[in-house]
Order: sequence, then structure tokens, then C-alpha cells
Amino acid sequence: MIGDMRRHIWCRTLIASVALTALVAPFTGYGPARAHHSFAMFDQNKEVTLKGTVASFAWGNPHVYLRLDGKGQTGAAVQYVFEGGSVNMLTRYGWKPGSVKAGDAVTVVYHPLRNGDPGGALKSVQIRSGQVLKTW
Amino acid sequence: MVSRAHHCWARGSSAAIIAVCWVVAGLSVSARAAPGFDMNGVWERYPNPVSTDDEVFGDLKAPDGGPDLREPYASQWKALLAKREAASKAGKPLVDDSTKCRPEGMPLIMGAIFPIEILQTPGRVTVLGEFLTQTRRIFLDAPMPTADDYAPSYYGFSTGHWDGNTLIVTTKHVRPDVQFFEIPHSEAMTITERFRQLTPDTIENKVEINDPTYLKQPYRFTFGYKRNHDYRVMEYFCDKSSDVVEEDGTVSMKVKPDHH
Repeated sequence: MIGDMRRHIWCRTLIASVALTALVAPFTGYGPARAHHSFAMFDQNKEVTLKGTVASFAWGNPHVYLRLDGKGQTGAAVQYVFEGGSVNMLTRYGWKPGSVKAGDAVTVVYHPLRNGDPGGALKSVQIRSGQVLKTW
Repeated sequence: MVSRAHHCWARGSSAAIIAVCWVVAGLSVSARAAPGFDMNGVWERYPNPVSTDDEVFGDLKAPDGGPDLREPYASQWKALLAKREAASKAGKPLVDDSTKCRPEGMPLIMGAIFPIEILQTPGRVTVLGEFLTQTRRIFLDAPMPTADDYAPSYYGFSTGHWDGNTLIVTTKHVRPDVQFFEIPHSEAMTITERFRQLTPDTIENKVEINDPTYLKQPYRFTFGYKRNHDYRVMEYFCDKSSDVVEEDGTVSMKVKPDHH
């Protein structure tokens, strides 16, 4: 069962990675893509996957922000705040200002905040079309 | 009367001859290969200094290990880096100019964290940085102003000239509080850049920083760039941020629910 789940996750990750690579390659090229501040507030060794409903999506610089209504570890409703890259970076990764809208059901992958607050650095979002968009 | 008319004619014909000479001279100059190369376009750092996840998420570091500073500046700079590293390890990064969206100035703009666009117009080379929508102007064959004539600024005053196919740019009058990787410098700091074309779409910028008050020897490093024919530089102003600078100088992210 666990093996099946792992395989499923692995396959999904592989498919997502291939889709992501195909999507991202024409945009990233060789250009540096880095945030304007240290990432030390996030746990870069940990990646968390979370499903939820978009409360708001703010398209702007120096970061885009995604607020997501999801569930905490106890099952209680929690609003998470995720910080993504800047508009120029996201545009290169194939994002549009309207890629994510309030009310959308999405799956996000993120590096959690090290202080335990609900949120983190957004790595990617699987948007309503099923497309996976990278943010860093 | 005759002599005056003759004088006028003579003067007129002399002027005409001079004008013809100028045109001929001008043509022969333009017939010669103009110095320099085409720098117009959008350029990205090459090779990309930020390609792995560790590099993307890690803190940027001064090129080539940083400069050879005199004491006590060397110890002070190392202590500053150690403090920053310790804060980051503790998950509480210290605020920096970039977090505050402060213009990068010289020479950091040339580090092209995001693409830079170079425009060549008569007498001018203009560098437009995508990050923070920055503008740096290089005036060709312009005299360097004295300290009495020019107040220190973010990009300082840059004068350039072509030496064959190398564009040599000298920059002075950079504000001492505009620091490249927090390296201290004096108002007398001089930055010399040598731009050379390597292939039609790659150039190198050999940077040399001289500042005898602070540096034991010139600080040298090279930035390489590759032209991106397709990319359109975007506007970038900081207008939305949930980052909060705490009283102790650390940065955290605000996660309070939106009430809008």
C-alpha cells in the first residue's frame, strides 16, 4: 500500500517534473533567478505538499503572495500564506496574472517557515487546469 | 568695392573648401570601421552563477572570495559576514539593502541578478537593470568631474571610451553607503570596467576596483553575459511585501490572515 502510494507519488512527481521541464525550459534559459532576500527563514530541506482553496493571490513585486485556506495537522481550518518569486521570474516560468484566482482548488509544494507559522516559500502550484507552475 | 567683393568671394570659397574637406574627412572616417561592437540588447549573466537549488536559495557571495581589505576593515567585514551567516543559520536572516529594495548602485547592478538591457546611443551607453527598474548612464569621452562638481550617487559618474574593440569605463563618486556585498569603500573608489566581445552574443566585463584607503590591492573579478534575443525586460518596483523588518534587524514573513 505504502509502496503503491510512493510509486504513485513518484510517478506523479515524474510526470509533473517532465511537464514542468517542458514548460520551464524555454523561459528560464540561463538567467539567474533569485529572490531579493535570504531564504533562511524557510526550511529549505523540507518540502510540503498541501491542497486547499485560494483565498487571494497578489501579483506584485518583490514577491507574489498566495493565501490558501487549508487544514492544519489537527484537521482544523488554517489559512496559509505563501511567498513566491517576483513577477518577472514567474512570467518566465509561464505564469500569467490570472493563473490563480480566489476560489480555485490548488495543490502547492512549499518550503515551510522555520518558526512554525502556517506558510512558507512557494515552490510550485498545480493550478486548476492541472498545469504545474514553478515559482522559484 | 572690387576688392571687398573679391574678399567676400574668397572668404566664401574658403568656407566652401573647408566644408568640402570636412565632408570628405567625415566620409573617410565613417568608411573606416567604427570602434567597438554592438552591445545593444538584453543580457543575462553567463555562465549562470545561480543555477542549482542551493545557489537559488542560498545567500549570494562576493565574487572570488571578496577583496583583500586592509585592517581593521578586513576583520570588520569578516565579522559582518559571520554575523549574517549565524543569523541565517538560526532562521532569522538579517535585513539587507536588497530586502529594502534599495537601488543596487555600482558595481552590483552589473552583477545582473535579473537581466540588464544595454542601449547604445550617440555619446552614451545606458544600462537598464530589470531588478528595481534601475538606470545607469555611461557618458562616452566625457571628462570625469571633480569631487567639488559631483555629489556621490548610487551609480557614481561613469565615463567610457573605446580602445579598439574594448569599451573601457571608469566610474567614480559612488556613495560610501552603497556597498557591493557590504564591502566598505571610500569616496575615492575607482571602478574600471573593460567590456570585450567574446562571440557575437557573449561579452565579458573585467572589473577592477581601486581604493587604496581600504584595499591592499585592486579587487578584480569578471562578469560574463549572454545576449537573450527574445526576452523583454519588465517593470520591477517593490509594491507588495509581507516581509517585516523586526527591531533587531531580522526579517520575518507576516502570516496574519487577510482582512481585505
